[in-house]
Amino acid sequence: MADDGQSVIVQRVEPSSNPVQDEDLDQYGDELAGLTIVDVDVHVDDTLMFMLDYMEGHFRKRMETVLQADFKGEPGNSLRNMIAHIAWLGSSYDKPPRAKLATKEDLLARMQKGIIDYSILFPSELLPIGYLPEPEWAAALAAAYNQYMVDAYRNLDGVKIAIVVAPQHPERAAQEIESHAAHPDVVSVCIPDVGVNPPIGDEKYWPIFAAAARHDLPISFHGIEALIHDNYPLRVAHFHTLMQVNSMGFPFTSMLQIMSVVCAGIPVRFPNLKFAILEAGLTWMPFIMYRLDAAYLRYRTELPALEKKPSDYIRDWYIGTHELEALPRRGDLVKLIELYQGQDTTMWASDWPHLERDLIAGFMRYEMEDTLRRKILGENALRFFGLKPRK
Amino acid sequence: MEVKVGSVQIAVFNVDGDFFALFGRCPHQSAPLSRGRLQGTVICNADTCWETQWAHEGEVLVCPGHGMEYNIRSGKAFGYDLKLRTYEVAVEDGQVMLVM
Ligand code: FES
Repeated sequence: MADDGQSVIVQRVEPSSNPVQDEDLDQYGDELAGLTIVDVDVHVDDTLMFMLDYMEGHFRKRMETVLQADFKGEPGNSLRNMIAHIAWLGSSYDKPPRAKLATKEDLLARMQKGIIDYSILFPSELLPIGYLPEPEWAAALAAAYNQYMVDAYRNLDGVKIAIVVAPQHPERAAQEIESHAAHPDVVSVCIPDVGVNPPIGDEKYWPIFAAAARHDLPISFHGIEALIHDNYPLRVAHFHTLMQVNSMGFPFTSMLQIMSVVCAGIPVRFPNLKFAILEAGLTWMPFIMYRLDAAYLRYRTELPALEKKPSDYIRDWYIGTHELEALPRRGDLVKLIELYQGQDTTMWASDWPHLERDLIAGFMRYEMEDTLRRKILGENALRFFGLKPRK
Repeated sequence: MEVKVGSVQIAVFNVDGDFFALFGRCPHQSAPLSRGRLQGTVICNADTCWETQWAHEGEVLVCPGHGMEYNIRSGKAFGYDLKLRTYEVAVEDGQVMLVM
């Protein structure tokens, strides 16, 4: 490139709408008053720059390099955008790839409405961590994220944290669990499940499950559509639109990881360990449960550790409602939940403030008994994360 | 062999002179269990130190439908939270009798 002394002006694009506003909650203020509401999938601004201070030595140097990079109008501090959206950059026009991220103040303002009792914070930037080819670097990022979150979001009323682990480094992942398990605000271990290869049931990951079981910390799998790699579980680079990747990436990954965990006999080896799946919607649950049962009839002897059929294990998994599918009739959600036996395991999740977040009206439009609504809005999540009711 | 008591089919097995009787229809899709063969199966649990082992030789009733396996003594299905009803068998004066 000719050096004419001119530098390219890179402008950061701001989203046209501001997803951190959530007036939707106000609309249901009266109806929800007195109910326990737990939002089990909430994201705050965790861009990589916040982790710099928690990195040392060559990793700190490396992070400085990352933070200085500019990439096609996106600041180089977004691992997520770099991995997720390059291939389809700009394809949603008025919805730029970067959602406006919620600051701590945004989060507290939302909590102060007094409607949501608990927000469970999950990572954004580190959701594609499973793709990183270097286990040490992935583990360093996870450690920095966890320490940052625990420092920045501790002791806030109703705010709880899921620490993240890098599955490609099971020993360091187990250490992360050991060092944060006793923290009163840490309520789950998040395993970002996309790009994890081999699948998460593999014996190499068992130290992670053993550590979580030892500390009675539930495991939450959280998906991401970030799949430009020609890799497990889907060769998504072959799809022409991000919409296709988004639709299939989450549920396919979830199904594959559930299948992997159950068929590896992990629920038998760690019977008290609880699992949840987040951000994959709900409609595929009956499919994977009963499809596995059908095959289990013929192949049970491959899985001699199982004491029950696969659906008997999967029905114990908790599941977040986001991204809630719009079913045609108002009674359909109850029917779906009956099919996967999820009355005691389904948990309301908004994914606030990401662009694809669910407004609470999306859930409230479905007809159901009050007892079931209460379970989904909060009671099931209290049990999963081991939280005490606040109202 | 299969015997019918009222409307209930019961599968009866003679294993070297020991008799076993179980509910005669597989709960999966109702295949007649009396036509199933007896063999062993693989187990893997804390008792085997999570090693896969061949066990229960001759005591595992394999459904002729799709292969569900039942412990012929207890009626318990291997790998399922499910148990077939079993019946006591008495042998008196060379007569095999089901205790109902
Ligand atoms: S009928 Fe027995 S396994 Fe299908």
